[in-house]
Amino acid sequence: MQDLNSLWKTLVRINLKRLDQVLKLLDLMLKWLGLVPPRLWLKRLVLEPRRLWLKYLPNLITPKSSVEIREKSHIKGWPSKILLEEWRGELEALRYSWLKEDKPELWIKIMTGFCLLGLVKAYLQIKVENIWLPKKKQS
Amino acid sequence: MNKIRDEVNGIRLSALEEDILTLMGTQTMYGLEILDGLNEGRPIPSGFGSLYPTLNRLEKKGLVSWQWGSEQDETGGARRKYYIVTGSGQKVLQEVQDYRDQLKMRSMTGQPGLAGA
Repeated sequence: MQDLNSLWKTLVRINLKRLDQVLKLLDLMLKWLGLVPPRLWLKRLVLEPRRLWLKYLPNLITPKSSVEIREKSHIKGWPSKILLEEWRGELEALRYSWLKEDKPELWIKIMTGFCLLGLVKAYLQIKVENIWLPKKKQS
Repeated sequence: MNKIRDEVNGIRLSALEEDILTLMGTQTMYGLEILDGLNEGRPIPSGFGSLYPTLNRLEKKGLVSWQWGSEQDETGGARRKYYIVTGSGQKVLQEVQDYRDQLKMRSMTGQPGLAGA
């Protein structure tokens, strides 16, 4: 019985995610074609029942555990070796908050990439600016 | 007081530097906190790429100082740097804000600088 219950929960979670993705894709396609997407109808027919569903059955979709989120938020590989301690910490905290907000994994990967590019830019800019800035450095 | 005045003479602030000093006030803040505070309602959001060089410039000018925080779970065990505005920083910011107030007063009374000359 428990197995059936967990299977049901998984199915619902996957389907709701897929439905959102399909709607977003449809929206983009209609926009691209220059048509006004029938957002209102979509909202009334599909998204509103979903909102009610989630509201009245809050325990159906189990939230991710904070340990799992923390594990996922860690930066692995070469960026973790070359980033300064402060910068790595801030980036991991940012990823942690995105994961908690349940942002899509691909989106998080892309945004992390942008942040890494920003940090590389910051590193180079600091190196160059320090050539002429006074040598007043806190120990 | 005179020492601070001598130190702050000739220091110029960019728009982002001024924003950061204004946001921090007398609080101790870490990088991400500053970024979140800055980007709330900002027309063009700033990222790490512009925040850290600006903090570095402020530090070199002696307007901001920092200290290490303790390790946290949220940051994956890495320590955070906590920034605070120094006395010189507050002095420079006060001067800039006074100047802005003067400009505002001039525009409200309709007496721009050269009009009376």
